[in-house]
Amino acid sequence: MMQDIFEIAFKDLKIEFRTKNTITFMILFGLITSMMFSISVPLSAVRDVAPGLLWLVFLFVGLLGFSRAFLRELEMGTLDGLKIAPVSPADILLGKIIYNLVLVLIIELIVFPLFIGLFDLRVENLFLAFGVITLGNVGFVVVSSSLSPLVLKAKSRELLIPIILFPVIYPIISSTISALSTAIKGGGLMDTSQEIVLILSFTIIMLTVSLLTFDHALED
Amino acid sequence: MNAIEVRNLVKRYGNFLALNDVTFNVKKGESFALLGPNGAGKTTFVRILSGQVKPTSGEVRVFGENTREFSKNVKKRLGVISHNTFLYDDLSAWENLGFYGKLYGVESLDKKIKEILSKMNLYERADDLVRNFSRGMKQRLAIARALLHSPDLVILDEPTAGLDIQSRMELFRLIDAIKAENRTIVFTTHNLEEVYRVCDVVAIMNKGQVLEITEVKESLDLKEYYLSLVEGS
Amino acid sequence: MLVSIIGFVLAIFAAYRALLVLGPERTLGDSYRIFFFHTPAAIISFLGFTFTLIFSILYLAKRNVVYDYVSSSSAKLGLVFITSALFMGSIWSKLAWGAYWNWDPRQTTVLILWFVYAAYFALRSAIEEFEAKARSSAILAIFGYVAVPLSYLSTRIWYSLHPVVIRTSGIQLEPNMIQVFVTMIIALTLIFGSLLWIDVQIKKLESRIQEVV
Repeated sequence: MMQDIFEIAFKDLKIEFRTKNTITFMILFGLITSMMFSISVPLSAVRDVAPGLLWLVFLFVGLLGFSRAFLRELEMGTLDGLKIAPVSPADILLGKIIYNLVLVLIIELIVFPLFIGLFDLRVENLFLAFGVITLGNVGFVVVSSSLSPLVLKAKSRELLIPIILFPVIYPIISSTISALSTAIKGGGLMDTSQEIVLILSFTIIMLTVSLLTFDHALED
Repeated sequence: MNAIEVRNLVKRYGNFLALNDVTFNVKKGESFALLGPNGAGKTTFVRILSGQVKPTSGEVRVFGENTREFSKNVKKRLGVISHNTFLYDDLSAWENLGFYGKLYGVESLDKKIKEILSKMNLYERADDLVRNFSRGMKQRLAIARALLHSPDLVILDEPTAGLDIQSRMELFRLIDAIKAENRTIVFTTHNLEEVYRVCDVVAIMNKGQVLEITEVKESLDLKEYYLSLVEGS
Repeated sequence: MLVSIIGFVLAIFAAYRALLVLGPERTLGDSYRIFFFHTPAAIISFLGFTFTLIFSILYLAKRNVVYDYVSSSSAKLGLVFITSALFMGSIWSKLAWGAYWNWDPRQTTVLILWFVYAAYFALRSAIEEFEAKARSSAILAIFGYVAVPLSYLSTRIWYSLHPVVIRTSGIQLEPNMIQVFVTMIIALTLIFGSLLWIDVQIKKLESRIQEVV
């Protein structure tokens, strides 16, 4: 059970680090959007808008990349191989979630410092800011990994993904931005506890719903 | 003892009836051919049999278990070979077999992989990425993948497509070995010769229905029989 | 048929009382009358989305196509009601708070709700195969339903311009206002129910026609 989950995640990571198809695009896209934002925002407004923009960069990058985990299996025809194999759909989903989490952590480690540099942003509580973004991304990865199989049979899948994803993860988006600005302005863990609790409980609810519905999501 | 029991199986795609009230049994140790033109419903049946697709109504039981709620134990006893190889292009032959082998819980995996790769004439290329394989080599590796865990039921969905003569002979030898071990085979094809070569029993299908099930014997003129049935339906 | 007639008659009666019989309110003047349309419409849309949730779960469990008809029809009606509530709300917002749109938590979350069900129909229109369409959209409806309690509770979680009309301490309305309000909700529920029934019948007939052809 646990072993199957890690086998699937490990296999995906091996393929990804060998081809670097997704991760390089995600990092490049993250850098490009960071730069675009940095050019378009006047210096006087930086402190007010930077938290929102930083989080938006990760949202864009995630929308681009997280659904690849399933789309790639579909395009290669290996999704059917997994369905035939003695692994439960929940294991497949959890494998993909772990894989996407590793990707997003790597991207955070690269894009986060570069964004701060580009905006010359003074982050008062660096650890909390990084932690909040990571937490937000965990929720984001859970929901996007669970929902991306829904578009496998749809036309113009890539376009459909942000449309179905954004409204569902809105509570995570808004809470992360609010906690992130608190952290950047020097607030501590206690000042962001409400948001953190909201993101955590939302993520747990979403994970439960996906584990319950995922049998159906992977059906053919 | 039946390995497969199919009861009133119906599969609908929108308004298209892919399988229309199909009922038959496959005995344990039998090699069973599904013969029919394209669009007869063979591939749909195979996808239901392997648990990839759920039927609209009716049921298929494999080793007594409904395909709607396959347990891991029954899934471990299935091996599927089809035109889709289920292989990862960016993993090597060895890594592909290693990945699937672990999912299927194959014991002494390294030894098994080595054995089957040699049998399929792929051992020298074990560490090459599947991406660089020819179509025939991929198909051979797909066969190795499906047989790695010694399945009790081997499902072959037009397995000879894309195989050269040599690999085809090797596949038939493997199938003979499977038959000798009294394991069950389901074989879909539209090639009559292959039915004679491989199968004990043949079901002739057309337009989502099984028209006739009969034993394959030398005396049977399958061609005449097939044409009269399919054209008559 | 009878249900829809009763529904329309009740709605007209409630509208008549809301617009012409009740007196103007102390602080809001005449503009408060939109409350009797705006809020019931929002409530009925929540009802519709709840139906969608229930029948989506039922569809996944039982795979009866009728459940898919009910859930998609109900989402369609919910979307119509929530759109009208949004429009009425922004008109009222202009009169009461000075701007059509304030990014008030309730307004924001209702807009998100609107996007959820717009996405539901976007997904449906993008998948051709019926079964995959019904299955995928049912799963999305389960995930998306989280927006409904969120927008209901939004005025309590965040600071909002929207008043909390129903509190544990009681309802903050005068008795004759409650009467009109409740009549309107009953009327719209009946209309919702009969439209839902008609829409499901249409879908059943359509699929039978397709089968025959």
